[in-house]
Order: sequence, then structure tokens, then C-alpha cells
Amino acid sequence: MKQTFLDGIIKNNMVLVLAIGLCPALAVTTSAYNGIGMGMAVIFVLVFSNLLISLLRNIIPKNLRIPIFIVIISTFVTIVDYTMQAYVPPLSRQLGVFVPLIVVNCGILGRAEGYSYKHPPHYSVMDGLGIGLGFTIILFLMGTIREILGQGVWLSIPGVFPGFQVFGEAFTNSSVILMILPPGGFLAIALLMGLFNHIRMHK
Amino acid sequence: MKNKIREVSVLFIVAIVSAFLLSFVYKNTKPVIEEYASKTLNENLLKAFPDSQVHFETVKNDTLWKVYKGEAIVGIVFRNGRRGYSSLIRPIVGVDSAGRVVKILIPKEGLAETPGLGMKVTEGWFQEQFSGLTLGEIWLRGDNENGKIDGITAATISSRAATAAVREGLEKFKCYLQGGVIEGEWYVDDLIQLSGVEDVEELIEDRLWKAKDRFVYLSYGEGFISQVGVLVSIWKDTVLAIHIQCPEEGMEETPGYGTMVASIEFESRFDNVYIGDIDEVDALSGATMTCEAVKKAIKSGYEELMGGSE
Repeated sequence: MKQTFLDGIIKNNMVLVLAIGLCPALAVTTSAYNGIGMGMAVIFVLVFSNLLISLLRNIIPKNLRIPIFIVIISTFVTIVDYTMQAYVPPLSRQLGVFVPLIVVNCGILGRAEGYSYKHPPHYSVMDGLGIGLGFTIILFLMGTIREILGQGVWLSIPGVFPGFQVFGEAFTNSSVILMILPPGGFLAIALLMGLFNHIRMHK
Repeated sequence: MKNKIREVSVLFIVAIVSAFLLSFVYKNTKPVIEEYASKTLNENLLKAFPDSQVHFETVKNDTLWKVYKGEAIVGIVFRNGRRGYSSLIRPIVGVDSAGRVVKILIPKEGLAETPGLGMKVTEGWFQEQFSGLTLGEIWLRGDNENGKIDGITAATISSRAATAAVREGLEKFKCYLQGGVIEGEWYVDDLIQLSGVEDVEELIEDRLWKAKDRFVYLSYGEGFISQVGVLVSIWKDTVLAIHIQCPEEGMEETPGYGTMVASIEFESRFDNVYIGDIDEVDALSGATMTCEAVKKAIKSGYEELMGGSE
């Protein structure tokens, strides 16, 4: 079980290894806080949809499984969406349409189809936690790279905390704007993938 | 057969449970979401008109508020949008009774200008420049000799749009500052807005008014299920602007389809259109009948106006 959890973070890492769920990973990681927020939403959806699908795996008919998965996943996504709108509205506005879009995140449907439909509930929950955490860590790292280079601060939370000054005022005023624009997302993901593969190859 | 029934019933049960769960969550989060929205709105209004003794009264949802101190109107707050570089810039502007801008606020929400460049319109120093200005001064320095606004380096389009949104909004809504509005019919507020002046001369009762430089007429067209009212301001043979009766004002078209025409976006498609080209204006998909009704109303009203003045 521990192995399932760790596999989810490293061996089956959603972004770096499986390269799925890239759309939200690129779109929302303009700051570390956004990355964490998105990651949390995905963890919640993944854990609960995995659990439910695994519990129901013996009664879900094979040829109707995809629509049933989608209904289950979208239910949890909508719950997350409403809850975020109600209790963390600034974050919800920042993530915008990418929260409802978790429904079609192939990472989640992929885990339902490829893992929890075939495994017992406790393993499926562990898998959901692992995969979700792996996703969150990468989003957090991407957000960190992009926010520090692009805005010169780290971990800023809109309306609550202005963020740690990393390089001082002078840098903040002339930061690498490219990093918070879409190309910056690709650059950050490339850096992380390269680093990850380098470590894996030389282990 | 038996198998099929089993399969369908599983999907059915999953969907039912999901629907129950969602309605439960919806019911519980809705008041919190709405409370937040109204709290933010009130905070924003207070930022645009900072005075602890005033209260705001909505004239038009999300667009116009009157500011009262006790019984007296001491100003207005409006929200007006203008397309910036890559999104709609919609400043919230407080105006005092002398027609001077009190403060403006450009919320970050919904704004998607270039980060680090156009997004600077949300910064304090840019917005503070507007305080105390009158209509003629709200221009970028480079665009007009009376202009008092410094644009943002490398973000001229965004700064110009923000400035224009404030200026055009002030132009459009300043008539509300004078108070004494004719009470009654649904179109009264819009009549003042479309005619540009407070005192209009009524030529035909409830149908035709003459303002300083233009005529404003009210006309109805047969829509999908009801009569759709349109208020049109016209100069010679060019439509200046129109206002379409919205559901709050008694329009009864299909909610979500026909009612879509009562939007600023659709109304603005008729701005400065030659009366002969009315048919060329693009209809809204899903509301073709209602769009036709609007066009018919504009044309028939115009014919009546021409007939009447001969």
C-alpha cells in the first residue's frame, strides 16, 4: 500500500512521467499558491472518485462505465467548485474555468479506468492520494519557478499576504514577465522534466 | 433484456444520488457565495465613494448606483466597460454631485491584460490620478491637451481604454446627478440616458421625445411570445443608441434565449448604424425571433417618426 502511494508520486507522476493533466498544470501555475490550490482540488476529486468507483466496481456494468465515471467525477468537481466559490472566493476566481475543467482532466478519468476500477478501495484511495500529491508537488514547483522569476516574490496570496521578497525591490520592478505568460509554463515544465529525467538516469 | 435493465438502473441510481448530493451542496453554498458577492460589491462601492455616512441604491444592476446621504443624492457610482488590450476593462467610478470623479477602482477580477504591463491599470498610482478630475480632463496627456492622466509605459492601449471607460461612463451617466427623475414607466431612466439631457420635450405622449440634438422614440415589436419594447435615440437617419426593455422592466420573452437581447453587448451593435442597414445587424443565436422584433420596432418607429413630422 505504501508502494502504491509512492508510485503515485514518483513512478506514475501525472505531469512528469505520464504527461497528462498538462492543461491545468500550464494554465494555473502563475503562482505557487495557485498551484497548491489547484492541486488540492485535484486531490479531493481524485481520492473520492477513486474510492467510489472502486467500491462500485463490481456493480458498474462494463459498457456503461465511462458515463458512470464521468457522472461521479463531475459530481465531486462541482462540489469542489461550489465550495471554493463559497469559502475561498479569491482563489476560485484566480483558477477560474480550470476548476470545472477538472472533469475532463484525463489524469482523473485515467486513474478511474486504469486503476480504481480494478483494485480494492484502500489501494484506490492510496493511489488517489499519491497521484494527487505528485500532481500538487509539481504544480507547486512550477508555480514557484514562475512566480519567483516572473514577479520576484514567492507564495503571495491575493488579499492576504504579499509574498516573500526573493531578490529585492529592484528585481520585482523589472522581473522576467515572460515566465508568467504562457511560454513560461512550458519553460518551467521543461526544466522540471529535464531535471527529473536526469536524476532518474543517474540513480 | 434483464441485463440491460440492470445496467440502466445502475446509471440511473448513480445519477439520482449525484443530483441529490449536488442540490444539497448548492443549497448550502449559495447563500455564502451571494453574501460574499454583495459584501465585495459594497466594499468596492465604498472604495469608489469613500464616505461612511452614505448608502447606495441600485439603479441598474452592476452598472449604476445612486449615492444617498440621508435623503439627498450626493453622487453616483457607475461601472462602465471598454475593451482593453485583451479583456474588458470595467472601472468602478464614484462621482460627486459636482460631476467630479471621487475615486476609481479597477478590480483585478475578470481582467486579463498582459501581466506586468496592462495589468498595471489596477495599481494605486494609476487610479489615484483620476480623483478630482472633471469630464474634460479625463484623457491621456498625449491624446488631448486638457488631459491629466499619465499613461502606463508600454501599455498605452490598456491605459487609454481605462481612461475612456471612465470618461464615456461619466458622459453617459452624469444626467443622473441632477436628481429629479420623472417617475413611472420602465423606460424613464433610459430615456434620460439616451437623450443625454435631463429635460426632454414630449412631442407625442409616451412615444416620442425631442432632446437637444436628437429624437428619442419608443416602439414595440412582435417577438416570440410578447411585445418587446425598444427605446431608440436617433439623429437624422442614424441610430445613436438603443435600449431594449429587459425582463426586470417587464419584457416577457423566453428566459435565457429571447431575454438575451436585453444586454449592453447586443444593444451596442446598433450604435451609429444607418437606419437602412438595421437588417444587417447580426442576430443572437437562439433569439432570432426576438432580434427580429427589435429590428422591426426600430424601423416601424422610425417610419412613424418620419410620417409624423411631415
